[in-house]
Amino acid sequence: MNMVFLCFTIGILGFIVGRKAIPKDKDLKWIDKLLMVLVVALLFILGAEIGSDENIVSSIGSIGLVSLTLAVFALAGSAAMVTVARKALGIDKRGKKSR
Amino acid sequence: MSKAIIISVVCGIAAGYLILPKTAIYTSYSQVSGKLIIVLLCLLLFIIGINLGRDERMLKNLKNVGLGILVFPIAAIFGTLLFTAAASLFLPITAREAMACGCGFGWYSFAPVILLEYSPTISAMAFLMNVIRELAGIALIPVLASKIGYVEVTSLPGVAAMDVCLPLVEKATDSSIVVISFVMGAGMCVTVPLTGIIAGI
Repeated sequence: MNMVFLCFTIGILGFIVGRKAIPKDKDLKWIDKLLMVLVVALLFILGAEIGSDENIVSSIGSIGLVSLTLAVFALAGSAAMVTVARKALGIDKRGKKSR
Repeated sequence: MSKAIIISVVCGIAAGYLILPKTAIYTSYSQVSGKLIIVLLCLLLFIIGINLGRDERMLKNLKNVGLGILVFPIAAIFGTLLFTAAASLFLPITAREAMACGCGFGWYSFAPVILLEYSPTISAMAFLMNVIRELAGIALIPVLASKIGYVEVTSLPGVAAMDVCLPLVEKATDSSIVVISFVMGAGMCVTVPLTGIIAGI
């Protein structure tokens, strides 16, 4: 719960800083580079934690199969429910109001 | 980008498997790794917040479309959680674990990191699942756009629908769908931290 609160607070804080504190015309190309560095660092650490866990390494095949199944269900589930919502709102496949 | 993802994870796994446990710094590293992850994650979220706050065009568009548009991300989030929970019936994991993985919505550098604390195995599943979801989701946008619907395809890649997928969505569908795609990704984006609650951390 604390982690969720922390994530939201930091994200909203960043949003306010980006919206109010930084001039809009200021070039912030370095920020995208920093973002990339952070993602790489996080993924490296994640990989290291996974790699040093013998249980995971020994069952990587079944983990892959579970992940693939979950991904297929997640893709199907979101598309199916969006179709339900879209039809309920009377919107056609091309995103236009049909009635 | 996808090259960098694969390289960093593979290097991490190799370092974790081959080198880390044999080194003297490992014990001290494993004591601080949890805190290091939180610091990096906070920095990442702060920067993403800044980028969103600076995006004038999107904020203006959002004001024009109204709150009704939120029904689409809500439907996609509900669908993902419902279907991943259903998938757990065939899999050796609980419904909560399956939903926690699903709640990553393709954000593979976030949800798995939160789940490390819960279980490294579930974290590994969440990582792989979300990489597959994002990459397959992106690849399917142009393939399925006219078959299943323009709005539906924006729900496929997850959080990436709000940024990296926008040019692709515009090309494969219609420029009016771009705002929906942004709201879809943003709605999922703010839902990802709930991964922790679903897993019960």
